[in-house]
Amino acid sequence: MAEIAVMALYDQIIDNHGEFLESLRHRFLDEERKTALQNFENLGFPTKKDEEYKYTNVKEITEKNYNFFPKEGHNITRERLDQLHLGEENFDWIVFVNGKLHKELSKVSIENVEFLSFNYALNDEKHKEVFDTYFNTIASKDSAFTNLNLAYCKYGFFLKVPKNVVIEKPIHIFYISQNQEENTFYNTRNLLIVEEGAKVEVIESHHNFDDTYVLTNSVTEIFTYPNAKADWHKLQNDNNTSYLIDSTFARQEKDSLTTVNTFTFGGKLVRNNLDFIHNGSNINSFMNGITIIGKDQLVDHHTAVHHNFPNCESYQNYKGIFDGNAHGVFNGKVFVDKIAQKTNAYQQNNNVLLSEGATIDTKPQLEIFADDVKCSHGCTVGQLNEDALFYLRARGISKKEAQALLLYAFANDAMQNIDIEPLKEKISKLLAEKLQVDLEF
Amino acid sequence: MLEIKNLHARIEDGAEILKGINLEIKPGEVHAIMGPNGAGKSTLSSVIAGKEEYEVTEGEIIFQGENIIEDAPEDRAHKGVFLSFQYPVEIPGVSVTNFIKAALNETRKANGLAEMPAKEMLALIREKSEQLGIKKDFLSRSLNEGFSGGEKKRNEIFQMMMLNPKLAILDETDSGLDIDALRIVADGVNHFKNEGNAVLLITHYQRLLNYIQPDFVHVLANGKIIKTGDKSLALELEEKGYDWLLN
Repeated sequence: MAEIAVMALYDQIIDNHGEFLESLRHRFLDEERKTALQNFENLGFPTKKDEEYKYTNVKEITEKNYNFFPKEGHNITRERLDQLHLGEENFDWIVFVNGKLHKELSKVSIENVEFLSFNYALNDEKHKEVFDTYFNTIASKDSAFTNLNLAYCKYGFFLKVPKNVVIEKPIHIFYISQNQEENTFYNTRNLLIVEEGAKVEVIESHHNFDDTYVLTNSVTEIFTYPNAKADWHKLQNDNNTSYLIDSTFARQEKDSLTTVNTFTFGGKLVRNNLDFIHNGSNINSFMNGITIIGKDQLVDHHTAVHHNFPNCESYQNYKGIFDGNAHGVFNGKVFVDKIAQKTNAYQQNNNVLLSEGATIDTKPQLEIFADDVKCSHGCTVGQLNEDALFYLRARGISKKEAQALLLYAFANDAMQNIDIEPLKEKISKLLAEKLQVDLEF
Repeated sequence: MLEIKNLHARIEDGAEILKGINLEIKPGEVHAIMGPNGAGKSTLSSVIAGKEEYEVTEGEIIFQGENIIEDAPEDRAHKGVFLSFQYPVEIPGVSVTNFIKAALNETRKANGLAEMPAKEMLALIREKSEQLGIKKDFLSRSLNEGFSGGEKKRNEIFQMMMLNPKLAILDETDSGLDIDALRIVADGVNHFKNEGNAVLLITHYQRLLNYIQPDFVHVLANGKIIKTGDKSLALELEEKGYDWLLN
C-alpha cells in the first residue's frame, strides 16, 4: 500500500496558487506557472526513500504551515542595513524586505548594466527577449523544489552584464524577512547573465529577523559567456528558525570562469543543490564551501558538474566542522561525457567532528565515460590533531582558542580564491563567532 | 628554577618511558641533555611542557617553587616555560605575526597585563626578527606552512625571543640545520640567555654545543640520567658514542 504522508505545506501549495496568481500584476507566466504547479503536484516533496534525500529529511519543513503572502510592513532602516553590508565604499547592494524590492534601502552605483524585472519583461520587448531566452532554461524540470519555485516566484535579482563590462564593486543581495507573526514562505528567484568578456561578483544572504519560521525556496540561474567571469558567494548565516532550499544552476560557455562559494554557519536546515553545466571547452568551474554548524542544525551540499566538452576543469573544495548534534551531508557528482577528453575534475570534502553527537554523510559520485581524464576525489572525516593542539597550547594559547585556530587553518583552504578582502574578513569573523573565540586570524 | 624529582612518566596506559629523572636547573645555567635514540629525551621535554598524552605516575616538576604537574600546557607557558619543537606544526591561514601576537597577548593576559599596544608589538617583532635575519615577508606567511627545516627552527627561536620565557627547552633545535642556520639560531639563543633565565638543550649531537656553551651535560638513557658532567663530557660522547656508558 502506498504511504500517504500528511503534508500541511503540500496542501497549502495546491490551495493557494489561484490566490497567488490573482495577486500578481503581471500574468505573462501564468501557463508556465500552472504547468510547474502540476509537476510539483505529481512529484510531491521528496522523502527519505528518494536517493537524493536519503540523509536529509525535509519533513520538519513540510509539516508546518506557512503564510504565502508576507506582510509588507517592516522597520528595516539604513542604519540596520549598515550593520549587515560589508562596506559602503566597496560594495553595492540590493535589498528585498518581506518579498519586495526596496530601492530606498538599496545602493546601486553601477552603470551600463541591465537590471531586469518581471515588470519590464512584460512591458519592454528587449527584456521580454532576455526572459524568453534565459529564464527557467537550465533550472531542473524534475525537481519538486524548482517547479515549486517557478509556480510561486515573484521577486528576485535579475541582472544582465553586457559584453566587456567589468563591474568593479561586488553586488550584495539581501533577502530580509521581518515582522512576520506567522511562519512565512518565500520563493526567491535569481537570474544572472554575464556576456562575453564581462565580469561580476555577487554576494547573496538571507536574513530572518523573527522567531517565526521562514522557509526560503530559492532558484538561481547563472549564464557565463566566453572570457567572462562570474563569482557568486552565498553567505548563509541565518537564525535557527530558518529553512533554506537553494538550487543554483550555472551554465558556462567556452573559455569562461564561474565560481560558486557556499559559506554556511546558520539556519536550521539548509539544502544546497549546485549544478554546473559545461557548454564549451576550456572552462574553469570552482566550488568552495565552508560549513560550521552545531546544535541540531543540518546542512546538505549536493553538487553536480557536467563535463560535456574537452579540456575543462572543475574544482570542488568543501570543508565541514560539526559540533553538538549537527548533521552534515555532502554528495558530489561529476559526470564526464565520452567526448570530454582532457577533463581535470578535482573534488575534496574534508570534515571535522567535534562531538560524539555530530554526524557527516559524505559521498563522492563519479561517472566517467572518457578515457583521457584526470579525476580525483577524496573525503576525510577526522578529529583535531593532538600534536598541533599541544604546539599551540605550549605557546600559551588556551585550549579553546587553539582549537579555533586549528579549525580556522582547516577551513582556510576553501577561502583561497575569494578575492574580496572584506568578505574574507567577514567569514573569518563569523568563524570566530561560531567557535566562540575572540580572535583575529 | 626547575627541579625535577624522581619523575616517572608513561604514554597513557603504555610502557614507562621516564624511570626516575632527577634534574636541577638554576637561573643563569645552560644544561644539555644528550642520549641515544629512544632514550626518552623528547618525552622529557614534552612532559615538562605538559603534553597530556603522557601520564606522570610518580615524582614532581617544581618550577619556580611550584609543582606544575597538574597545570595545562598553556598555564605552564604563562608561567614561563617554553618548548621549541622538534617538528613545529603547520597552520595554514594563520600568519607568523598574528600567531605570535595571540601567543604573547594570551600570556600577558594570564599574568594580569594588558594587551601589548600594536605599535610596541610591531617594534618588538622588528627588533627580534632582525636579530635572527628574518625577512619581513616571512612574517606574513602562514605559520610553518611550506617552511624549510631551517626556517621552522628559526621561527621557533623567534617565538622564544618574543615570549621571553624563564626556561627555554630546545628540543633537537639543531637537527635539519645547515651550518649557517645553526649559527644564526645559536646566536639567537646566546642573545636571549641572561642571569635570570635558563636553557635546556635536548640534542643528539655535540655540534650545537660548539655554539652554545653548556654548564652541565647529562646523558639520558633508558629513561634515566646515567651521567652528568661539564661540556667536556659532550666531546667525549662525540668521540666514543654512548655504548661505553651503557655497558
